[in-house]
Amino acid sequence: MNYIMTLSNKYVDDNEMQKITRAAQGDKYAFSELFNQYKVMVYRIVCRFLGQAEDADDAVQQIFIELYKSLPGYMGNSKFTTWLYRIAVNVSIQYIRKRKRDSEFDSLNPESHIDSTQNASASIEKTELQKQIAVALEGIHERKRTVLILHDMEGLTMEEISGITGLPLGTVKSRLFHGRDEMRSKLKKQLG
Amino acid sequence: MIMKCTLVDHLIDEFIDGCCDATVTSQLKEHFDSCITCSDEYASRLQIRSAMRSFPVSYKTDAQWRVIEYQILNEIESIAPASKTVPFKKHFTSTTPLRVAAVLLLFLFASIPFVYYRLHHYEKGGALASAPQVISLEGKVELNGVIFSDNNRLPEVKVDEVISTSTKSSAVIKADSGSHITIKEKSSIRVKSFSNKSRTFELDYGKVAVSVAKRKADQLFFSQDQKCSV
Repeated sequence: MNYIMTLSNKYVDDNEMQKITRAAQGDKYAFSELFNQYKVMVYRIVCRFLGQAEDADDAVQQIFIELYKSLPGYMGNSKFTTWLYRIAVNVSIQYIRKRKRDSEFDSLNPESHIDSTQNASASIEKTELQKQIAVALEGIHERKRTVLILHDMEGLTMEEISGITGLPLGTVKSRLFHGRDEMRSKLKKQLG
Repeated sequence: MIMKCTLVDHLIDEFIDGCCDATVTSQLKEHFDSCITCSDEYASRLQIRSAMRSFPVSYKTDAQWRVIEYQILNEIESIAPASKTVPFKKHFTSTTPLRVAAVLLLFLFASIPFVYYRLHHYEKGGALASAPQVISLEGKVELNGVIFSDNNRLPEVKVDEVISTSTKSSAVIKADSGSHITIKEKSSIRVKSFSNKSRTFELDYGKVAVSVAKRKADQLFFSQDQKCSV
C-alpha cells in the first residue's frame, strides 16, 4: 500500500489513493465514495456516446463494475480520471457496437438530452443545432467520434486523449481533423 | 502579411482551441476583418464548438443514483477483487505443460554433478555429506579419562584425545551440568587433563572457534594455543 502511495504522489493525492486502494481491496464503502465522486462524469461521457437512451444506465453500471475489477491494476502512474475515461470510452464503444449488432439503431434523441429543468431561456437555435450535432455524431465512425467527443465536448487535451485511447498524438490530431471535417459536411447537408 | 483563405481554413480550429501564437492570431483577426467568407466560417465553427461544449446532459435525481449505486454494489458483491483471485485460465495456457517440462529438465541436468559427487563420496565409504551439524556429547564424566555417552560418533573421549570437527560443523561437549564447550567449524580440541575440580582442554589448532560457557550468559572465547580450565 505504501508502495502504491509513493507512486501516487505525482498524479493522485494520498487521500484519493488510500480510497482507491481500499476499494481495490474490496471495501464497499470506499468504492461507494468513488462512485459518488465520479458518477456524473461517467454519466456525461456515456450520454455523449450513447445519448440518454435506456442502455445509458446499464453502461454506467458496467463502467463501474469494470472499474472495480481493474482497480488493483491502478498503480497511480496516470491520473485516475484518465484511467476512468479509458474504461468509460471502451464500455461506451462496446455498447455502440452492441446496438449495431442488435440492429436496434436507437437514434440519439437530442430532445432527451435536454433536461426539463434546463434554463428556459436556452437558445432555441442552439438546441436545434445540438439536435443536428447529435444526429451527425451518430453517422461518424466511432474512431473519429471518440476523439471528437473527448476533445470538443469533454474538453480534454490531445495528450490526454492520446493517454486514454493509447493512440499516438499524430493519430489523435488526424482523427480530430477529419472528424470535424466530417461533422461540418454532415451538418451542412442536414441544415441545407 | 495577408493570409490566404486556404491557410486560414486550416487554422480556424487551432485558433478556436487557442493554440495559435500571437503573430498568427493577429494575422487571422486581420483576415477575418477583411474576408467575409472566412469570417462566416469562423463564426459557424465557433457556434458548433460552443454547442458541442455545452451539449446538455440531463441530471439524475438522488433517488435514481441510489438505485444505480445499489445495483452496482450488489453486482460487485459477487466479484472478488482482482488482486485476491488469480484466474486459472490467465496463467494456464496450452504451452504450460511444455514450460513445466523444460524447467524439470533444466533442474535434472543441473543436479547431475551434485548427485555424482554424493554417490562417489558414498562409494568411498564416507558418510553422506551432510549439512552443518552439531555433535552433542553429553553424559557423565569419569576420572582417568573422559567418557562421553554419545549417540553419534564419539562415544568415548579420553585424555590426550583430539576432538575434531569438519568444515561447517561443530561439536558441543557438555562437560558437566553447568558448562559446555562448543567447537565450531574446522578446529580441534585436545582433552588435556581432567579432575574432580577442574577440566583442562587445549586447542590444537583452529581460529576463534571454541567457546566455553559455564552459564548461558557467561561465555569465554579463546583462540589457538590457549588453555582453558572449566
